[in-house]
Parts: sequence; C-alpha cells; structure tokens
Amino acid sequence: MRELRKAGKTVCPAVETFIYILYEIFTMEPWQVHKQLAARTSYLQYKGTWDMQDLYEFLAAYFSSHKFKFYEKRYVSKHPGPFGPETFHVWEARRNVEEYYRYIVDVFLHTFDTQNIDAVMKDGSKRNFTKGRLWAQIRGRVVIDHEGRWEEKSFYANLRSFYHKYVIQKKMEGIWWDNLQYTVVLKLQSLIKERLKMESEAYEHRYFHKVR
Amino acid sequence: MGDVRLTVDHLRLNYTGPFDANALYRQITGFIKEKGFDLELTKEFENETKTGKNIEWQMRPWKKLTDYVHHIIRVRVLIYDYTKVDAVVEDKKAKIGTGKVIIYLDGFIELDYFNKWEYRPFFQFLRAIYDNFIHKVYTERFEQRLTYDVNHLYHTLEQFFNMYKHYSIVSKVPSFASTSQ
Repeated sequence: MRELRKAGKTVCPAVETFIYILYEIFTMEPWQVHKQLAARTSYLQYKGTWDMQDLYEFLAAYFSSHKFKFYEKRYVSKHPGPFGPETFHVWEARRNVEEYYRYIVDVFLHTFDTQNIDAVMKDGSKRNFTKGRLWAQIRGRVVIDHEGRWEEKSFYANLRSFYHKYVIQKKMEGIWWDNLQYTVVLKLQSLIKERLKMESEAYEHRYFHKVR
Repeated sequence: MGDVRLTVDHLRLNYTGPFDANALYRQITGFIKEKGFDLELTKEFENETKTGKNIEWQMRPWKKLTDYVHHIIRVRVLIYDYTKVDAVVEDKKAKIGTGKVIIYLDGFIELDYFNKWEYRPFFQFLRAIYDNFIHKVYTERFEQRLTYDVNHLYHTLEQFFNMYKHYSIVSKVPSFASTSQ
C-alpha cells in the first residue's frame, strides 16, 4: 500500500479511473466513475425435469440472435455421487455494441442430482430429458472503454473520468445499462423460465425500456 | 450504502386455497410496472416435491424519486404444496392451482443513495441534520408515498385472492359443467 502511495496511485480499489491521483486530496469519496456497469445477478433455481439439450441450443440461439458471440468457457463434470452427477457450465456472451462499450453476459449453470430419463411424446417419439436440480445465475455488465484506449496516461484517464461523470453519465445509466438489463438479461431469464415451464413464466417488464 | 430506513415493516398476507401462481406473478409485476418501479428479481426458486411445487420468489422493485431519494420494496412470495386441480366456476370446468401462499412486503427508503455524504462522520452528521430538521417535511412525504404504495400493493393482492373465493374445487367435474377453454 505504501508503494502504491509513493507511486502516486490511489489505494481505493473501487475508484479505478483515479489510479493516478492521490486519494487523500479528495475531501469526499469521488463519485463512482464507472469503467464497468454491472447489472445485478439474476438467480434461478429449479427442481424437476427439463430438456438440457434444448436449453443449451436455445441459449446459444438466443445470444446469436442478439448479435452476441457465445463462448463456453468451462465445462466441469464431477464424478457421480450417490444422487447423480454434478455438472458446471460456465458460459460467456460478448457483444461489441460500439467501439466504446461492449455487453458481456455471464451465465453459470450448475446441475446436480441429475438422471437421464426417456419420455415418450404425444406423437410417439422418444426424447431424452434430465431430471434433477438446476441452479442458474445470469449476470450482465457493460464494459466501457473495453480496448483501454484511455488508460495510457493519467491525463487521458482523468479525461475519461470527466467524460463518464459529466458528459455521458445519463446515457450510460439510462440507455446502455437499461438496454442490457431489460432487453437482454431479464428477457433471457424469463425465457429460460418459459423453457423450464416454471410458474413464474411472465415477462411483464418487457415494456420497461423504450417506452418511458 | 446511503441512509436506509425501514418504513413498512413486514406486512404479511396468508392465503390457502385456489389461485393461479402465474396470474399472481403477473399481478405483482404488473403493479410494479404501473407504479413506475424498476423490477429486480433476486430469487426465483421452484422445487417439485411429492406434495406439490414449492416456490419462492423474491423481488426488489426500486424507484428513483429524486437524485437523493430512492424507494425500495421487498416482495417475498412463498408458495407451498402448489398443485393443479379441477374446479367449477360459473358452471364451467377450469383447471386451477391450489396451495398455500405467504407474502411478505417491506418498504425501504434510501436517502443519499449516491453516498455523497457517507465517507466522513461530519458529513453524516450534516446529512442527519438535513434529513431530520431542514428537509423533514419532504423526507416524511417521501415516506408516506412509499407507505401508500406498499399498502396499495397489499390491498391489490387481497383483492386478487378474494377473486378466487367463488372457485369451488371438485374431485370430479360434474356433467353439467362445460369446458371453459
């Protein structure tokens, strides 16, 4: 910490854009000048039967249709326990919306106590379903200046701080973040609920954005 | 975090009987939307058990009133043993859910949500003076508005459940009942 102070850098990790300025000179904590606007994590827990293949394809198609690039970052399959295998899926979807900002949606799926079951559909065809527990987390964030163009010099970093704080603050919070939260993250959550045929499959907030 | 005050403490609504969980969800989210709140879903759990579905929803709708005041409602819905049964409504057959519901409502008002007056004890003192003496009338008015909104939601939910009182659950659908769908 002392070394950081000697180097003239802040010791406050929350204020990333003020890394070249001594924190002590502020009488108050500087207003959060975001480099990243994070949406809150949406959780979903389900116990029952679902079609994992369908869910996977649906998610990939959803991101593809919203111009995201979809990455499977990690797939962990644990040795089956007494109640069934446990699997972790860590996915990430990225979209460079403009040069200055990008959307990132992190999806974490955790399935456990699962069993594969065959079901006969009404038309007589057989399908493979998964029975067990599902725990999903969806988190979206808007990353600003994702190429780090304004981090080369302290002057640029301050300029960026000023720009974020006074020029595009409303745009960041009111348009970019809203767009991600309401038209991507919450929509995705409700569509997953619809896919799983949960009781709360409703999307009342679909008119939140672009109307008011 | 700014100065968070608990304005409405744990309003509780109990109900056992027929109701549609999806309609309840729509009712709550629709109300939130109408009142201009932004929706945040913090919990969305659904477990199938032998006795029926156990569901838990937790929402945290929030609304920025000014640059200084922020309203938060916490809605927690617990549904136990939710199953689908046959019912007769106005001589028509209908499929309806039944179970036990407990709803908790809390209302919070957050002052200074940008934390501008948070980081020095002296500033916090100034904020307390400002909220409790200088800006008192407005602070109380904001609290009243939140209380009104939460009670309105409670009343709406009561009405929602009252609507289901004329549903009669039957073990076997009588022959005179025609299918509604």
